[in-house]
Amino acid sequence: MADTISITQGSTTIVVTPIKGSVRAGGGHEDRGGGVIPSVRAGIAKNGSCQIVITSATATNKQHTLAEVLSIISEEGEGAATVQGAGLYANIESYDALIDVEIGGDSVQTATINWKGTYSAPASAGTGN
Amino acid sequence: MACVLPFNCIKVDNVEVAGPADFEYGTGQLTLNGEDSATVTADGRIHNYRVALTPSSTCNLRGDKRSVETGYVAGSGQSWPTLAGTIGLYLKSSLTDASPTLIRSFPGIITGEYDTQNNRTTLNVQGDSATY
Repeated sequence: MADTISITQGSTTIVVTPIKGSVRAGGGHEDRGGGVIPSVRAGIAKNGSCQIVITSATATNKQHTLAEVLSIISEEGEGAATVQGAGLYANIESYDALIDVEIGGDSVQTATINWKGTYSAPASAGTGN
Repeated sequence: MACVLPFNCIKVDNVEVAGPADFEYGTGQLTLNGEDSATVTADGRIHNYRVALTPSSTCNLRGDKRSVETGYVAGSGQSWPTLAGTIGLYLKSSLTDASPTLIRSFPGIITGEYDTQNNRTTLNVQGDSATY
């Protein structure tokens, strides 16, 4: 299985092949209490990032063109993106996420994709989600 | 979080005012600042919310390009208050790219500062997340 991460934003899904070693995940949890009040972790975050190389044409598992990368940026509103890894990144996932993209690099143009979301898919309609 | 994106072409109300030949290479940088918040529900899920995605950008152009400023008046004339124009920031893959990639379009105001020592104009483009 290919080592990829798929990112779904609305009706758009792109599959990217991250630069090896660039994938990060963790942190951002919602903690309460502290001091004399018992600490509680109220919300579980699934945040992370990866880097990809911007390409001029789409290839299998490398939907890395500028237009494709721009299509996953979160606009105003609820975070609604889904991030799901495969292969080496099978333990990478995030739901209801906000997605940001940072394109930099003077020589090889790379994009850093950041996501911040939560641990589970939305519950089905009518259950208070 | 914020998005950082490159551009090398500026259009105002769909008219190109600066292209790759005017830009100092690699200086066009657009930042989209997400004004985000989060709430937590009793099931432990974090719900992230983005109320605005505010654009601001900067670039260096070769020569005196203050003429692209919003409300620019040549000589000693006086400008009426000028509403923000529709700014389109594009990335051209070549000088003759006929269909550049639109990075972002937003209502914005362009301000420039000409530096005579280096013969360059630094442009700042401030915009709104929403169109009114």
